[in-house]
Amino acid sequence: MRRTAIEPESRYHTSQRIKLHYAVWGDESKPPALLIHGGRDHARNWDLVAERLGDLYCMYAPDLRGHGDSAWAIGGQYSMPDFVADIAALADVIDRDPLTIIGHSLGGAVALQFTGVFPDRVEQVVSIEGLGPPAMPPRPAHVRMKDWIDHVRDLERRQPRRYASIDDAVKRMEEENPHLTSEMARHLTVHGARQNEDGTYSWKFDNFVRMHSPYEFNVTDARDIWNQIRCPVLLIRGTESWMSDPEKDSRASAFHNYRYVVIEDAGHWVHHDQLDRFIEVTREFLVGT
Amino acid sequence: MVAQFLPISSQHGPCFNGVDRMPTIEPESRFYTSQRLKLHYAVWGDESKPPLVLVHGTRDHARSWDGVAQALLDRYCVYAPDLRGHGDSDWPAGGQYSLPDFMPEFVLDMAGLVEVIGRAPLTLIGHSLGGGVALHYAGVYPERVEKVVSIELLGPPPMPGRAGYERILTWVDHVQKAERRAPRRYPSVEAATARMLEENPRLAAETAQHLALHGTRANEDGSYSWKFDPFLRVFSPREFRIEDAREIWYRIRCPVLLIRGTERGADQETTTAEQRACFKTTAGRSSKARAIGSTTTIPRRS
Repeated sequence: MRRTAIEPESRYHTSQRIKLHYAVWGDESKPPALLIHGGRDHARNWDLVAERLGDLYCMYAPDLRGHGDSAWAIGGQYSMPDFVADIAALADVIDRDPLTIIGHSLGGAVALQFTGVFPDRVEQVVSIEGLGPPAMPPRPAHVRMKDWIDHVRDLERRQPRRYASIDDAVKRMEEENPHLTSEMARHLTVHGARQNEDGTYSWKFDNFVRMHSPYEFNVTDARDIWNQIRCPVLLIRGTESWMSDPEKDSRASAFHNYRYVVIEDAGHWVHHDQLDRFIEVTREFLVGT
Repeated sequence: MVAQFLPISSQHGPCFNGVDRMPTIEPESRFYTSQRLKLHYAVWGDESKPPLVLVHGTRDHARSWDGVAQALLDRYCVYAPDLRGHGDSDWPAGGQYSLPDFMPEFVLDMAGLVEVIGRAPLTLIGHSLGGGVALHYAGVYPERVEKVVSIELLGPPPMPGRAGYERILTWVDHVQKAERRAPRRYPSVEAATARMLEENPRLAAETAQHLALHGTRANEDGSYSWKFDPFLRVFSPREFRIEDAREIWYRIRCPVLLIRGTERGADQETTTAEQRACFKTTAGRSSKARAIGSTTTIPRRS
């Protein structure tokens, strides 16, 4: 990948007593935009997007708790309310409401929930493949509790994987994401892995971010939160994604004012798979050009 | 670990005379991990005796059970955990406590403790939050529990129905307030004891001293703060549904004893008719529930 000309500045803030990292690109006199990454990803996945939107915004990209250079929530949770609280804390630190927010996958779901809970704080929101899980068949409470306990026990017993070299980690990244260019896979790996004491590399993200929830995902609650959103919403989906189509499954109907764009030849990571098209669609939505 | 604070009592002279009347058997401190947190539990007695687990309530700690443990040692080996965020157990990092909702992490920690003890089936006695956890555990793992006693709580209290966005908004606000509040510092254990008595006027002075002694930790500046995590005061953004509670409680297969005190105002009721009705129903099945009056969770030693 062509290195971005501008390296972001690293800053930190705390939320719920853990230290969280965020990257800042650009001129703070420009309007503020938040870029929120997805699960097991990190802030630096936005480098190219930040470069292409630098004429419009000053951009702030958090590493969500348990990801990138942010602290892990040991014994804590990686649940939607926690991520929303962390974004609220970051918005307080930035102190430049109202914000434009772009989020991918988990980050898109967080962006939409944050916007629904704090409708006055957001001007525009773009969610790439990020509405959260579709409705699941309900499970009895004792089953949810027991499955969750078994699942946590499995995670406790799992050792973080170690890669002999960055090249090995890049291979793993490419294997998992066949749509990525090899340059992008390397960039994501360099910023997504950390060297261990023995010279091997491990992913920065906490394995416990894989933790499911013991609660039922409540689509009624989610719809109710989305329904509070007062600003324009852009929902983006790749044609080759595994994500459910929000118009077909009717989740999109919870939004008052939304645009839905499907991008050809893109998988789940739409902004990596079709950067030009993504930027075009997003700029058109945000500023009309 | 707890024992290191004991010499303080002699320094404070007559104020701690009452402590002499507290149990003479000091428990052994042990630790285990659950969800990467190091959790503490106290063990009293002879491990050849049947296992009994005593689960304390919110902002309380394992040593709240000293009197009870002593009184039951002839029959049981007694295990009392410090729940996460309490006593000498770790606080979760960046975490919320699922109170008062589904309480999954407390049930998780209980499941871990039962595995570490390795002596199921066992008898559980819980007070308040601990009673709720004991009942949930007994419903999720019915084959591991022989009898359950729940003092003063069946489960989380009913919450007014609130929209999802409203619950998160309120919760974020509470979290931010908790972040800004510095833990209170008391100049001495006596001052903490006075605070304990103010909040719990029914406690005997010696019991309050005992609870404050084991419930506080010395700060670097010589002052004392409560061991419990102040974030325990932040209520969960989730709702607990009575249908979930009922579903779990109906799976309990052992006898259940529910205890509540008689002395309270109507506004201090800790259980609801709807919750209690769940147990009347189970009484017709294989569990039997009955309510008796009891005024204190720390029985006076008779």
